[in-house]
Amino acid sequence: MSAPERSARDAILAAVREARPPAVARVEAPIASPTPAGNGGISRTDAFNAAGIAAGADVTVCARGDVARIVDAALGGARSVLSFSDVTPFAARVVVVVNEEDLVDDLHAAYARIDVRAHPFGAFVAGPSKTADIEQSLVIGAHGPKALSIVVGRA
Amino acid sequence: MTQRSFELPVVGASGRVDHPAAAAAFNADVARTEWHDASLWFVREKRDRAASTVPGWEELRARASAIKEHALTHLDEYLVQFEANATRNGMQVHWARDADEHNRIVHGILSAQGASRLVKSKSMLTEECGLNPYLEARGIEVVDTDLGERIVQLRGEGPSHIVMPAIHLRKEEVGDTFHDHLGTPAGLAEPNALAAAAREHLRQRFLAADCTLTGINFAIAETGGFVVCTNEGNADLGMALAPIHIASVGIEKIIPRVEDLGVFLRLLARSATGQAVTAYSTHVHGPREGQALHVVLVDNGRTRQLAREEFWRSLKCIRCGACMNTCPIYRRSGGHSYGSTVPGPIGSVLTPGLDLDRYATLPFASTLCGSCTAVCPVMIDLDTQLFRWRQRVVENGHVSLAKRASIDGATRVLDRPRLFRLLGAVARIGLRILPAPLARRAAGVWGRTREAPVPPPQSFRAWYRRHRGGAA
Repeated sequence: MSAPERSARDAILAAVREARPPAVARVEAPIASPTPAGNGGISRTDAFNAAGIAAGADVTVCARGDVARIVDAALGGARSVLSFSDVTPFAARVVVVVNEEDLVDDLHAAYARIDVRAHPFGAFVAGPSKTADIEQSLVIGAHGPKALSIVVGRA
Repeated sequence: MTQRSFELPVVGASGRVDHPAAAAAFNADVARTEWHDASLWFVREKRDRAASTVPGWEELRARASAIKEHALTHLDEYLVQFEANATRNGMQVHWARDADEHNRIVHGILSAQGASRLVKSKSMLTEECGLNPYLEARGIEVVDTDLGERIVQLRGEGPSHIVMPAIHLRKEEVGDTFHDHLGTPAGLAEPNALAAAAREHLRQRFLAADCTLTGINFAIAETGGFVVCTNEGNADLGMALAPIHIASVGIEKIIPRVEDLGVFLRLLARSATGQAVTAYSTHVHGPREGQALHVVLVDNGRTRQLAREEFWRSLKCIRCGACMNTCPIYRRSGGHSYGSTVPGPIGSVLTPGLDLDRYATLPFASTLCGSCTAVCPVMIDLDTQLFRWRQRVVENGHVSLAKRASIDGATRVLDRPRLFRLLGAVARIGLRILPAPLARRAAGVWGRTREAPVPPPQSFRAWYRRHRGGAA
């Protein structure tokens, strides 16, 4: 770090210490994940199927309010955090294969299962690249993949 | 160069942002105003539907607020922790006190490597710092790769919304801009075709870039990593290709732990656009092999806001834009009318902290209805903070003489019951005998678009005395 940057660092930290409002304690209680009962009594696999995200179907996740709960279901397990190679964001079509047992209820459960530090680069992917920047019209394939498929398998 | 569809008189002769004048200019185009209002309300309704499907939504908001308040009240500790862990992960961490230092650092990184072609994904911080003109003046080609950002960049405008930068434009205007700059056929205005043209145009820029710059949605102290959220995947493309990656971040974006991301990612996209989660939530915990990864931590007024007992909670903001989409003033005045990188209710709370005299009109760009506070995913008490800024504005004398005189006059009348009664009687007679246009004019701005009320035959006080017989 250069000398001017070091002095900027020290000045910012000193200003933060000077400014710090009275300490607010951290809340440690876990956020409750919806249980199957709390999720309308449907299992994760049923929910995926109901959403038209069964094996082989193109994923148009995030689309409908009535499936939003399970859309929150990020994919758990090591395979879920797609370790981006240089290729992935370029591919026109991406297929993800995931074990049924690696499905989790929500992002809280996903973060509890994965070590984000294990990969320098990883992403939760919730569908193809998209934009609505022109008059709120949804366009698929703004930059990256134009289709994303998820195959849910039973080990 | 495409003509801008409208020029808002944002900054008056005094050098101050004149929101009422700019809003009036925006409103002169009635059709555009109606359409702009409806577009944003559509997004607001999507947000409502998304939020209502999540059990425990209010618990999530409360938790997000608590995490941010904890982080901001221990910010020095978390900044130092982030720096240590990020450095361990192979990132180079830089510190900038203000916009100028930020821009110098970015330019220094580029020139040290002989880099001259920069692709950017969305970063409101670099808009705030004026990075693009700074670099362009030094011979760097800067290409914004978010579609909305690219549209406004080609038009020589700034974003009018922090999530939907081109929300003020019709598709025909985008078509004209692309015809001028990208060579699309004249008259082409179909969004899929326009986006496809932008995809091809930007793909070339991605491949040619020697540096990429991204924003940061969340910087994680515990791991020294960060998260970038996009729907287009443009940040991912830039990161995957360019040999240098610079990530610029305001110091308030630090969160303590990885597990906190679960809370924020569930709230962010639902609040922003009504999606469950953005298409790409990308986690970076180190450079790719052979890549240089720089993080620039920027203050630029944030520590001053942190020191303000009444306003520090505005730094909890995660930049979802929900307060803009719901705001009746924002929807009917357009983002450019605020003369500030971040417009809408949160912008009107953050920006006056930078220069109260220049931005004195912004806290008044609100009905104080509180809708912004109701939708804010981190529970910032926006309407209260707007009201407090109004008090600071008045205390510091940044109010026009006309407004001051009318408020002082009203105070004098309300302090004197006899005078109040007399003027009430005058008004009842006046409303009856004055022609309607004159009566409306007497009501000032309020009367411009409203009919004058039909005067009651007597005051409430007189009515009460007659019917209840009590002494008044």
